Amino acid sequence: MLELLRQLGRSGLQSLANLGRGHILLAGILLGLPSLVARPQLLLAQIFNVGVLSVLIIAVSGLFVGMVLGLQGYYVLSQFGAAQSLGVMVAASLVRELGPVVTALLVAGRAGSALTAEVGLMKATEQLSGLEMMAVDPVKRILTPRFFGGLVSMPLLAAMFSAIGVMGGWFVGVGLLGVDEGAYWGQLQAKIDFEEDVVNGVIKSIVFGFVVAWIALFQGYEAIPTSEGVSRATTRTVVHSALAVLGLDFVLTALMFGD
Amino acid sequence: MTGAPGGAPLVRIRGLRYARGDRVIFGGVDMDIPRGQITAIMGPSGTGKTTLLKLISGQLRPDAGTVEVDGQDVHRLSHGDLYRLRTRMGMLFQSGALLTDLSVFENVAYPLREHTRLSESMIRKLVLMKLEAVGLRGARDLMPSELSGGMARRVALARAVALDPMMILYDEPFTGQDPISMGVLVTLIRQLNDASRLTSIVVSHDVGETASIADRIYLIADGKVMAKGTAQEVDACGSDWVQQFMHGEPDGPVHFHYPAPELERDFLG
Repeated sequence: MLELLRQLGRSGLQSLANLGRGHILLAGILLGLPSLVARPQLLLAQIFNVGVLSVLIIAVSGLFVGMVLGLQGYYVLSQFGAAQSLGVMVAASLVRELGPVVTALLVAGRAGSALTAEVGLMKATEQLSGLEMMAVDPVKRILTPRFFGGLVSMPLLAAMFSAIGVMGGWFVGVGLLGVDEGAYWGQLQAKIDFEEDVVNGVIKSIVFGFVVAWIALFQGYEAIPTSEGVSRATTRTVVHSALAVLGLDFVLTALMFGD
Repeated sequence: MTGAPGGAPLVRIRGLRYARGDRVIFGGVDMDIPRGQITAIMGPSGTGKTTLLKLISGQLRPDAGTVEVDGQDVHRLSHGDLYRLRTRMGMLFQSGALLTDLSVFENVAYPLREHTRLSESMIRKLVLMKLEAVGLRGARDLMPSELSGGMARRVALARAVALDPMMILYDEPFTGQDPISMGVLVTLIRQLNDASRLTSIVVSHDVGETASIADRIYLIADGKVMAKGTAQEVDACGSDWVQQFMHGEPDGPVHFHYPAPELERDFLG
């Protein structure tokens, strides 16, 4: 019993210490913003790594998610004679929820894990210590551009996911199942509110970009510098990011659409 | 060189204590690293030789004691002052620690681009000079993954001297090298030290190679200095431990067998 309490206390203290180190690292990353502004090419390279290289997986996933929404939405709505509202259903689901959430999960799996592995391996191969010995701050030089690369890319990828998803829903609903094209686009245009739906979706994806990039870089920077340590850190990035995104989605949804 | 007077040692370590968990790595070590010479720090694996370099360069903080480099207490410096001091130090890591996404040329140019405002043509000339000094001017366009271990270390050496530092710290420079690469590195370390009037600290357990170039040797083990002096002075030291280490004898004060129960008891139950 005493041992159980001791273990509980130890893991509690460890979690608290990790949280503290995570916040100190985040402060260091954010303080690197002025030096990043002076070298925008570092940010562009990371937007390419995190954003552009994720475009294919985001586009294909968005298309299929939109097509499934079109199919399922049609079967449900047509039972109530409301198949003409398919466009609204597809777009609202994508813009409010699926766009930001699925994009964040995919980016965590594709780019977040890559960031953790890259930073972890840089630590294992002494590249981070090498930078420190060259009087170059590795947090500002390596982590800050990657963090802001993730932060900028996430809302753009989520917007792309939602836009392609709406096209997928249109293809299935209008193209294959015979929903009226004018109704699909007209109702979508009339019922989707820019502030309530689009802006809130963008805010969500910015928050998710912040959290996923932070978790990925923290795990890489704190990884035990061995192959096993880096592999564990990569796994932790995907698991922690997924849980954080889903948990935060609930909180944000409650705050945004709760009234 | 600034700060301390010419005759004073470049690195002065006093009462250095450092422990990792319950394990004491250094239990009150004093050392003086003279200017313009090659000082070797030798000792068995796991005695904290690399840790000592990290303490000297301010990457780790000691539990007690002071480390002064050129008259400045490394662990009392602000972040900015420590980084300014590091621009005057070079360090050669065991793995080379080259940035894997940059070519050989860009790796050597990196500290110049970070810390100077030199024109591109001047950077090119300086990088080619440094690469010429380590014999790899022709490898400028290769990526680190295309280099052998010895070549990577030479590129890292060119990068370490790019800003013409006052001191270079070498972490196990000879480990895992073939005889030719080892010979090249031994010659380079000596030549660079003498030609650029550097101070070099070489951490190693390769006795022959290190003793051949070191002006002064510190032997450390069990958290303390076991012997110090020139290679001849250390070799002539009467200590059994020093003799075993310097001549690579398999048994002696450091036993061949890891502590274990008696043989008879283990086998016969």
